[in-house]
Amino acid sequence: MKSSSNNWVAMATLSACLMLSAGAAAQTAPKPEPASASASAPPETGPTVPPAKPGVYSESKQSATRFRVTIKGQTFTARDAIEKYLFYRAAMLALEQRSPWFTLVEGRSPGDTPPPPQADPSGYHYSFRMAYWRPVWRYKRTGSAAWSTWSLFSGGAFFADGKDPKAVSDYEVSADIVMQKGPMDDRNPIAFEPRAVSEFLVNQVNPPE
Amino acid sequence: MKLNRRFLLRGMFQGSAATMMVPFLDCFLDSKGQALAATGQKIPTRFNTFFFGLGLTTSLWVPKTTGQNYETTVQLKPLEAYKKKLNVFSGMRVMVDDNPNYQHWSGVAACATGIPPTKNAQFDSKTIDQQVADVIARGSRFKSVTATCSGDPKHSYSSLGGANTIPAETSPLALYTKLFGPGFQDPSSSDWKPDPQVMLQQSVLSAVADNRKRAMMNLGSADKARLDQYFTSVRETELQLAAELQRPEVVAKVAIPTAPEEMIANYALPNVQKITPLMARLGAIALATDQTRVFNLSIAEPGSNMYVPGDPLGYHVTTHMEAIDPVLGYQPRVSEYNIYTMELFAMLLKELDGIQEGDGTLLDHSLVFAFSDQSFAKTHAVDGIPMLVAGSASGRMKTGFHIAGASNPVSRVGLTLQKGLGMAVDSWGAGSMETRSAYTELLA
Amino acid sequence: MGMQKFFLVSPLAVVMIVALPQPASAAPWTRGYVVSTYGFAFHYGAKPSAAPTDPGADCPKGSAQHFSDEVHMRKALEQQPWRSKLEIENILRPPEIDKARLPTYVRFYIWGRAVSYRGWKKGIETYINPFAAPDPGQPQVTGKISDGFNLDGNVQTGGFANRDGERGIDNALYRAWGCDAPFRGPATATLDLRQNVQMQEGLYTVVIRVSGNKDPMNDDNATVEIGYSPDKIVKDAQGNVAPDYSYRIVKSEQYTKLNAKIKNGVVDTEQVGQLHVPRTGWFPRQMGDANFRQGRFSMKIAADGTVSGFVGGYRDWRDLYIENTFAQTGAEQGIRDYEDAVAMYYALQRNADGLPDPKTGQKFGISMAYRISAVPARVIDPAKPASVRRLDEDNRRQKAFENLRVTVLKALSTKIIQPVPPGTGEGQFPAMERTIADLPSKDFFLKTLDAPGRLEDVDSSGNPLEKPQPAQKSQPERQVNNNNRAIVATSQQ
Repeated sequence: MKSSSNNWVAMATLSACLMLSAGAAAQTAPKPEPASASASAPPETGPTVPPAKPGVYSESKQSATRFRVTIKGQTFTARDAIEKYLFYRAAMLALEQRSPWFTLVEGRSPGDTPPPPQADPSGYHYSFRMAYWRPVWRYKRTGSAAWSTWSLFSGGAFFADGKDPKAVSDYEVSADIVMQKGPMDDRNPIAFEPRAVSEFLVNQVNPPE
Repeated sequence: MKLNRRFLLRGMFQGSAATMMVPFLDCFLDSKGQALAATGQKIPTRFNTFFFGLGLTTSLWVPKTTGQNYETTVQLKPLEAYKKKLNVFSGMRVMVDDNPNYQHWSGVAACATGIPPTKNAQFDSKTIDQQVADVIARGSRFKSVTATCSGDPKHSYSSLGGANTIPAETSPLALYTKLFGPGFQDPSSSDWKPDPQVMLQQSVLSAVADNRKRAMMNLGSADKARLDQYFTSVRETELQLAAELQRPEVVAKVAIPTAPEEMIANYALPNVQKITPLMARLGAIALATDQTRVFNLSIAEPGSNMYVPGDPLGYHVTTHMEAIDPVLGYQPRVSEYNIYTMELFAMLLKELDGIQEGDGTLLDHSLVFAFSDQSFAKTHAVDGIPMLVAGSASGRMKTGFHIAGASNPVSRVGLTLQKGLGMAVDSWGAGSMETRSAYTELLA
Repeated sequence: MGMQKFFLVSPLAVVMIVALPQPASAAPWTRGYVVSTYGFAFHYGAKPSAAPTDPGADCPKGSAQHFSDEVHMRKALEQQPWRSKLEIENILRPPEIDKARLPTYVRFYIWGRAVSYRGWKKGIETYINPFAAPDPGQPQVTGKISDGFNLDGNVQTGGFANRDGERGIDNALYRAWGCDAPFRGPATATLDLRQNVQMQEGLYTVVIRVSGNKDPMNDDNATVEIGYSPDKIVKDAQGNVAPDYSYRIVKSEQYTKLNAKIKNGVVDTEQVGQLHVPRTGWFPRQMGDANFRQGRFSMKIAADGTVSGFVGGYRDWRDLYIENTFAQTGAEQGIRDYEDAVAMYYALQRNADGLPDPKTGQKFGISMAYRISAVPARVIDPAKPASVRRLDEDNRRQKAFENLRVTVLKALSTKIIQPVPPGTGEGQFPAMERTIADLPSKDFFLKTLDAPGRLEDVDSSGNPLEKPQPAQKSQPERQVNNNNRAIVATSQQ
């Protein structure tokens, strides 16, 4: 069926403006889009993540589309909790940038052994896996002035596994992300949708210290 | 004589005062004496229902031509041996009127009552087997016998109306015990005696007969009419009891089998396939020995949960989950299950047709009404619900036909059955399914 | 009169034009139709001989097959880090299942309970709180052909062309859900077939009335009305929707009256801010308002008098999520029809293309269309007030559905995790508990799997049992009208 939609939309919009300005009841003309899609949605506010203390979280622009997000802290708790918070902040940054999706730049070093993640051959499209969010760590042990580095790509156990968390005096974890435009690459395992990630994590994270 | 709720009929029985409260007799009021002659010389006509869930596959069961000599279809193949004793009704319609299409229920209720159900899992009238039993069951030991092959007494589609159904016997042993256990007397045995309970009831009624007449005096015309109506039903009851005091006319030559072992009755197809022929045989013998004239058998519930071991989905879930093969145009696995149900139906027909009585078989002296809950279970459709009728009702029903229903109501089949059984019924069903139009071309 | 002028005239001018003498040939006319098929306008891109799960030009990887077998089920369960390996293995193959009376349903309900709880921690019912589970992934339509409308007037957006070559077709719902197995067809789409069968068997009736003053095939000042009818669809002997029967049209909330133009038998309406039409469904509780924003209607009159066309616009995708997911329960729909509502939730959010929130920019609208075919009917106004038929039990179910709807909307709007409302059956409760009662390994599942409640606290529908009130020793009390003489009965009387 052939429809002449372009003219109709333009006409309808113009018609609505004219009729409204004339004070006529515009019963059949398009109305301005409602502020909220569902009138029945309760106007409640949801959970909020408390702000981080100054200096804990930072972001920096590396290029037009590449950003680095970093957490610096002195009270190490758990790798999972801190990485999730970083992931949440990365997603929030992408939302601020109005970026429909972003990718992680993996911090691999020469000699790293784990293979790059592959799209699930059985067809998981768009799904995100927490396991593929792999930022890079630096840390200092109590009494030591030197930074050590650790990443999942190094293949070794996490530096704090099986050790007293208090033995870590300083830590820094960072990731580079690239803001993307256009349709998402549904087969890229390190492509993430900021809204999906932030909504998934909003009930799970608190700022590290 | 003043009559009130506490009015008693008094008489003497075996030297003692016999009294009978009027309300006690209300339990006999359901009886409508018409067919007492059925216990006479003629071989009684019996009625069976067979319920199978989830329908059949339209493209595989509906014959291409109507009338006689149609080409047997894939899903009717298991019934091939009985083709000439079978009528096939396709394209029959369930009209739900202002009621919802209760999924897996509207079809059952419509076929069984001719009335679209106003509530889920409830019948809006007696089911057809009970309506038939009211007329043809006189003199038999059980008004009807109901059994299921899947082990759940709730899988009965025999009801006096409402949500309650007459519980189904769930194991061959239980059915055997009901039929041939304590209280059973082989009608062909030489020392047959009437049931002592029946004798007692008969005697009580006789004892109060004189008192009855006096009760009619000094009453207004309306009350007299009412009491006369009441006593008419009492007299009918007496006649019924009198029939039960006679030895049943059993012309079939059947041996009462030994009691079967207790078996596992569940949804597993191999078990259902073992139990169905046993249930069918016991039912057939019960009919042949005139213990009952109405036998109902169900495979399982509507939306049958029957399964082939190893199939993680089973019948019902498969009807929903299995894709329609675009080349074949149907659901292949579902169609296999459909065929299993027709094989089970054939088991019942085999038992009925295997008993010789008089000039034919038990099947020839019966009508067997097989029906389902859906026509296309995947979408819960009910139009074109499969309906099959076997047996010739002692020659009153012509057989071997495929009737294309052309969206006529399913109640036409029910009405035809009742006319085939010789019942004085002009119309059947309610709402859009109320019909006065039996398939007269099938009636001899 | 040209199309553009049609809308640019002022209301006063309309009055003047109407008042002008009409050509001698002009005469009022009315045509009515009853909708015979109704469903999402999804273009099936595979060959007619393909299975619904097979690839096609629309879905090159085929359809989604969530939960269709143990392999897919395992993948779904392994996404929850809190599940032990033993738990996963037992869910996949419940121990001693063959000893249960209903092994198929034991597995069905255990799987259903398991997929109902896939949150980031135990205890979150996932269909009510889909955002609390990571996106399981959903293949989307990559084809370039779609039915529907160019809703925003922009040929650069939408990404589809229709079969006549018109570009800029906006049908983002098709992109999001078009590869969902139960909607891939046309002859094999389970949910599409179901809703059409149920509509034709009397669940609901939709009628269309077109009227004008010139020629029914060419009239630039026609009117289109759409609404529910309280009268059930009449079918003919072949089971098709019979033409030429009378139907009343109900001017309920879902009634819409639109200005339209007809050219060579093609009816096109104006585009309106709010377009209310009955939505599709296959359970009474799904009945209600489709409520399109920027809505349009278009249909073509065929030589035999039947019509085919579309009604479309932007709908709130949260409503679509709720209507589809909770037609039964999320799990039942999922395991039976290979669809994962969580994946469909993320697909809706990803493809949303309308109704942006002015503060956050988040889009809550998704472009879509219903495909309609209809046969001629006599559509009449009721002689006395009529309403859409609804039974008491439908109302009760509708109420339970509304409770669920409000709960889910609250969850989606606030991201505050919501519990399962009682009596909805969501989370397969208490169906699983009742079904596995004779499973020898039931204790493992009762202890391990999450549940919305305890079996002993609810009735068969999952509604909380009323706690027995302690016996009152005081005299019986009756509420009386003080203006009347009080008659108080006691048990002694």
